[in-house]
Amino acid sequence: MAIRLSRIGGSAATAASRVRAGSPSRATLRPQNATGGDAAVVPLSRFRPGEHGRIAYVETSEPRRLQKLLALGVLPGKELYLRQAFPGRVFQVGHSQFAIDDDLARAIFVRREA
Amino acid sequence: MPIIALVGSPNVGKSVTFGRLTGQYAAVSNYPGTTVEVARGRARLGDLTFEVVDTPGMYSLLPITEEERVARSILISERLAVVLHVVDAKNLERMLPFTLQLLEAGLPVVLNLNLMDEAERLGIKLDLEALERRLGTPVVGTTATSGRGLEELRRRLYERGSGQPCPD
Amino acid sequence: MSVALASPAQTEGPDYGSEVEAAINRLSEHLQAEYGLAPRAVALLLLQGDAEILDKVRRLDPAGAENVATIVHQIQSTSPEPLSYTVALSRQAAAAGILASCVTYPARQRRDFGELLGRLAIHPLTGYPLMLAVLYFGLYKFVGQFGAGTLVGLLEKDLFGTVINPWLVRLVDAYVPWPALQALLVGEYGIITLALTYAIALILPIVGTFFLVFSLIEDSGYLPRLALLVDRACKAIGLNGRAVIPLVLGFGCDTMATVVTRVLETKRERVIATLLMALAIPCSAQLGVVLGLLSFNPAALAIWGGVVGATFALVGFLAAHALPGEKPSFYMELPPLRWPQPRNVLLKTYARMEWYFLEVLPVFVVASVLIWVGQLTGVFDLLVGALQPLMRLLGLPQQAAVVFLFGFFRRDYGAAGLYELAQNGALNGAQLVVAAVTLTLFLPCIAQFSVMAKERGLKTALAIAAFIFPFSFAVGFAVKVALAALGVSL
Repeated sequence: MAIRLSRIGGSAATAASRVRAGSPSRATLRPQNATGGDAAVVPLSRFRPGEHGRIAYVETSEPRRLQKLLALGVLPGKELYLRQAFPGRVFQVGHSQFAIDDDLARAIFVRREA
Repeated sequence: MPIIALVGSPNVGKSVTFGRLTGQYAAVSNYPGTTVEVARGRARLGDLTFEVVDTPGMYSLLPITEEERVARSILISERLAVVLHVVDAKNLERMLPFTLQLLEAGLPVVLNLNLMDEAERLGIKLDLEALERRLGTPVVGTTATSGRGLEELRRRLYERGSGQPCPD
Repeated sequence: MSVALASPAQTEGPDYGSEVEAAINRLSEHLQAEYGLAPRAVALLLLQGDAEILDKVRRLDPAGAENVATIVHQIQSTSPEPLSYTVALSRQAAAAGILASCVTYPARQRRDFGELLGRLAIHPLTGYPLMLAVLYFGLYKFVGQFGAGTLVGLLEKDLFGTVINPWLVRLVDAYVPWPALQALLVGEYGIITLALTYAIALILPIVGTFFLVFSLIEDSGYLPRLALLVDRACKAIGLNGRAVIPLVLGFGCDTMATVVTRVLETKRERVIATLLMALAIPCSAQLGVVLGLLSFNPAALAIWGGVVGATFALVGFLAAHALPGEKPSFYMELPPLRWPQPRNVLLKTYARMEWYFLEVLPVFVVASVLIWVGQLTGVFDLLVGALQPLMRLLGLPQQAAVVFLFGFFRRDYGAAGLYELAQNGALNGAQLVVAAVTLTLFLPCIAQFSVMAKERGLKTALAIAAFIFPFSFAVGFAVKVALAALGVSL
């Protein structure tokens, strides 16, 4: 079965975060050149356990998946810490821990932090 | 009979609060694992009797699952005296957007910060009065499992539901 | 900060930006009817693509509905990001702004034993052994051996078998003059000797111990961790880890668990879970009886477990590939592990036992009456006779047909009949395995079927039943043939 988490639209091949001044927890998706992305921003599926980061953006073509992540409070600007990667991704945002599968992890893009 | 509806995301102790308010664990329609059907009971608050409705867990007014659809339909179709939004005091930042959404919808909200003991154990300090002022709606802190804060909760529910001061 | 604004009547609501706010205002003009929510909230749901609300607008505000759809479509197509995203971010920003002045977090997070245990519970190296330990001690030791063994022995043999029933039989024999009525009350399938005794002495201790364990696991916060551990395995059968909640509960009562499949997101997952529970998840009463029957024969128990487990996996795998629909996805919050509060656990257990008991007792009594009527009229013998070819096919003795007939009324009722038969030494090891496998896979009880029809629709329920009926006998037959061919004697 095909992975449904393709990028948004055809021309909007990828999206990057744009943090608005004075409002650190606000960011928007902005279409950008596919290769113009930030190298420090990787999907959560490529994060290693123990790594910290800040959520840059969420990207999915499927409204329901986006809705799930929004419901969990997985939003740009939030700090994220990956606890483990198997059998599912377990990460911490704020005082909550979440478990998600790899498909959903591919929709969350995180900026690595030391 | 005026109705109080309990709403909130899963794992915040709605069903325990329901039990505390009504004195019953659940009506026959309360199934385990999660509350997937709506439990109804009665609570005597002051000189009034309220019907209390426990809803399945929901994260926002935009439903994803069947149970969330059930929960939302209660908010939409029943005339409610109080919507008691039960939240995890440790995770206010994540749960307050739903409170704002309920207020935006014009519902008579009382915000209940539950699991206060766990928040305190983590060293989180909450200024409930300030929060109440900022939200413009009653805010009550409880630890439903031990019964802490429940008198205050009953009083505020009475006041919100009847529009009158509680006669003790 | 704008403290002056914060009079009790005012709320610092989120600001969604000029474009969205303009759309909200335009939409609100068309929303004349009563929606149970403020027009602003309705407009926001519409902008986020809520189909249910849009349908409602078409019904309640037909005049404005087309305009509403146009406005929504317009802003959705020009917005660079999904509007649900914009809305969520704005709300989050508003919440953060409010909380900034109301909450202070500690610099460092404290760690305690609960957190350590929570980590161990999901770590691949420690999580799986822990899961097996929970299942072994919780289900096998406590429910299987203590509940179905010790407690059932005390209640059924000692209390009902030697004290209550002999006394009631004498009482009825002395005061009820008609033999037919005597048979109805205290006969072989009598209301007292069979229905009440099974319900109270056999079923209740088993489901009681099961619900106690389940409530403990549930209140401790372990279930979401279990869901995470089994997510990958669940994906193979078209489900996601969340399905562990109804599936584990099914080991208590499949009827109750069928209702709980509502926690699953897609219709496809709910159908698969319903099918698998009807087919291959034995409820606690069945499980207790089967464990009791086969526990003296480890090889027989292993074969039964292997066959039922393989059937579960195979049918799940095939269903996942045959049924169309959205791929399952897993997301769950992992709450901190907590000590279950004894009061809450006991209340929950009690409420579930009560639910179950009220569900099971009337069915048992009705079954007793039906069997009584069937025996009086000869219909019962006719049906038992009609089942004989199937029994011969499975290599089972004649009396087993009675057990299978019981199975129509209630699966655990049938399992209990099997128990009786084995106690009398009417079955050898291989026959026991064949009968146990077939009965486990067999058509669900009447109560479960009615809930399946209610939850999934009559058509789906009938389709599932039509599949299970021949399939369970086919598997039983295959086991018989395989055992004979391999020369296995048990």
